Amino acid sequence: MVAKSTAHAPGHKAHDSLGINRIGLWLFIVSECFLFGALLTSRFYLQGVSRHEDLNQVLGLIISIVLLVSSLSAYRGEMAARYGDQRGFRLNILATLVLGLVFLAGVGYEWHEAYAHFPPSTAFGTAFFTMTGVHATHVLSGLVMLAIVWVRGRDGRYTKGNFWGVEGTVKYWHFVDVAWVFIYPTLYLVS
Amino acid sequence: MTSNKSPEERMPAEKAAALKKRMRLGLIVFAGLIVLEIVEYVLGVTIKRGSWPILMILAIIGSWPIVHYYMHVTQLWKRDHEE
Repeated sequence: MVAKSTAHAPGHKAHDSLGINRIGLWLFIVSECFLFGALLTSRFYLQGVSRHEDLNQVLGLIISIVLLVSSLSAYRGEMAARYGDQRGFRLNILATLVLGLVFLAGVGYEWHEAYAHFPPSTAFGTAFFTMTGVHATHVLSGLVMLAIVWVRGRDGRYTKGNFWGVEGTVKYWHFVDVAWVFIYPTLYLVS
Repeated sequence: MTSNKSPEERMPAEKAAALKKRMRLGLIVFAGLIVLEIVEYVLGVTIKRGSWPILMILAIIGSWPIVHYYMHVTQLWKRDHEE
C-alpha cells in the first residue's frame, strides 16, 4: 500500500499553527458569548427593564473604567511582546494584573453593599449576583493566566516570533472586558 | 561601551516607529471607549424611562473597537504578513 503524499508546494506550511490557535480561541470566545447572552436574557426575564434603585451606579462606572484601563495596558503589553520590547511587556502585564485585582476588590465591595439591599434570594439579586459572579470568575481566571504569562515572560520566553501565550491570554482578557461592556448597562443603567 | 539592553530590547528605528504607532492607536481607542462609557452613564442616570434600547446600542458600539482593534478579529481572515 502506498502512503498518500503529504508534500506541499515550497513556501507553504502543512498547517498554520498560529492560525489554528487563533480560530480555536475565537470558537471558545463565541461559546462564552452564549453563556453571557443567556445571563443577560435572564436578567430581563426576571426584572424586565427596571433597575434596582439601591445600586451604586458611581461604583459601577469606576470599576468599568478600571477594566477599560486594564484592557489598554493588556493591549500595550501584547504589542510590546510582539515588537520585542521585553521591559514594556513585563510592566504592562503587571499593570493589567494590578488593575484586575482592583476591579475584583470593587466587585467585592459592591457585593457587600448589594447583599443588604437585594440578597440572592430576590429576583434581581439572583440576576445581579449570578452575572457579576460569573464575570468575576472569568476575571479571576484571566488574572491567573496573566500571572503565568508574566512569570514565564520574566526570563524572556516570549520573543518577537513566539508570543502566542501573551496574545491568547490578552485576547481572553479583552473578551472579559467586552462582556462587562454589556453587563454594566444591563445591571446598573437600564430603565 | 556596551548597552545594558538584551538583544530583544534593541529595536530597529522602523520597528520602534511601528510600535509607537500601535501604542498611539491603543490610546485613541481607549479615549473613545472612556467617552462612550461616560455618555452611557449620563444617559443611564438622567433618562428615567425607556433608556434600554439606547444603552444596548451604545454597548454594541463600544464593544466593536475592542473586538476590532484590541482583539484583532481581522487576523482570522488575513495572512500574517497582511496584519
